[in-house]
Amino acid sequence: MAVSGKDTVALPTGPGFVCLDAMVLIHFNRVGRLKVLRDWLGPRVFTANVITEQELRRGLPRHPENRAILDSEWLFPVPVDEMEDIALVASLRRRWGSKDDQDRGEAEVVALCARYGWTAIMDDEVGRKAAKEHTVPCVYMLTTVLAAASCGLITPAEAWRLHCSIERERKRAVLSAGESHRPVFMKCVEQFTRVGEKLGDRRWPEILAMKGLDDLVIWTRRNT
Amino acid sequence: MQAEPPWMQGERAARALRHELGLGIAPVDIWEVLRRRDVYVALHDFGEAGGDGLYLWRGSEAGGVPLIVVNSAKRPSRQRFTAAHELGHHELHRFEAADVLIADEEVGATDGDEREVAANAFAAYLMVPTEDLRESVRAFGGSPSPVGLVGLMRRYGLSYQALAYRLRNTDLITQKTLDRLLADGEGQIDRLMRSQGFAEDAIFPAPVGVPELLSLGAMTLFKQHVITETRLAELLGMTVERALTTVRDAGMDRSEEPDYDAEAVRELLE
Repeated sequence: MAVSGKDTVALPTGPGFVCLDAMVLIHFNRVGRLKVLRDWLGPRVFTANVITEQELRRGLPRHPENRAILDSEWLFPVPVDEMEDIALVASLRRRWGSKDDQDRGEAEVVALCARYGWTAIMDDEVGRKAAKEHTVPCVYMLTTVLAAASCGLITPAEAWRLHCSIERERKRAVLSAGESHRPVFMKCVEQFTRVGEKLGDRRWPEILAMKGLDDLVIWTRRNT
Repeated sequence: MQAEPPWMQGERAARALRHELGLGIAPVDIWEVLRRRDVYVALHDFGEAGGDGLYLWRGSEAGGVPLIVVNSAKRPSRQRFTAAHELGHHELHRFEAADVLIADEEVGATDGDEREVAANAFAAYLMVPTEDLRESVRAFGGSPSPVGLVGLMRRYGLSYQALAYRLRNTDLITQKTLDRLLADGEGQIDRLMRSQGFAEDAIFPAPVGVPELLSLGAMTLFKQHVITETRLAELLGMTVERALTTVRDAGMDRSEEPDYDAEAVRELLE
């Protein structure tokens, strides 16, 4: 039941659609590659309304570069208006101890993906833990880049450069931008290619919803 | 025997809750009361023209899950009263059905609905106990002015109008005094609040409830990425920096690299 009184617009469902956390949008935009997300995940890419309206729009005076995200016609911000979803967001934020609008983006991405069956792209470990609890498919930004390379959307060399440009500033992914991790990255692309073959023609973007992709990256890092 | 009128039911439930929580007759922080009552609270922006709030109860044989949603677009004092009103529904009406949903467009408008009258009486007594209000009015010499009423706003965290009506409903002022207070306060309340040096959102600010956990449990939850460092700090009652040092010292820090699900990897590689 929607409680805001707004018209309910029918949204597509299923793991073939993705919902992005704020960090994905911010980092791809920061390295000038925002449109890669449209090319890979479009024509309709979802995010939580709170991310665009509260995190990004309110932050424009300090981060005017995020205007490009807000102007992206392929990005569809979705409000959390269903009673159960508001309850889920509240319970997650209560558990996390979130103040003001802190962590609302992650909580709402989880709630939206749980409702619509979408795949979440999110690096925040606490949000990812919640996604897992609610059986929401969830992958790292890095995993998305690896999967795109494995499906031929970008060459492995370009994918590595993209990962490095994001990670040089960020320094949080499972694989760093250091040369020592380049072979691990390439090995992951190989592994993903084999995994993707199981899906046949429906490899992309359904591969992102496959259970264990992020685990495979960590496993490969430890075993390469 | 004559049935108890709804306002009396509400007031009695508020007295019972105050007694159960050991609150006496002092003003309360409604958010703290909700936390102690284990009621989930969500502040959600439904817009200024949206409803005031909702109460939802999902019951089961083992108990139930209560959720109160308050429209964060309304003034903080209105949010507090709405939260208390919805708590009234929780205390009075949650066992009416397995699933209860009460949507309140405007908590003050009862339209003769007995449940709404009871919830309002509950909220009024819980937030402004008659005994305490009487003492406050005595301090004014029995005739509060707009300045005095703004002082009551600060004490109870409710709006000027809500307190004016509360004074009338408890027979502490006459109808004529109520009319005068409302007329004299028109357009003056924000200025009077500033002159007394307080802001509505600074008194009893809306917090996030915190269930009790042992520190070891909190550190385990942090390590497993179930809670954030902010939450950990809250549970341990210290600053974030101190909490992170504490988990490190206890050997409960998060590993630099997340763990992986070996079973999931095996299935993928098969």
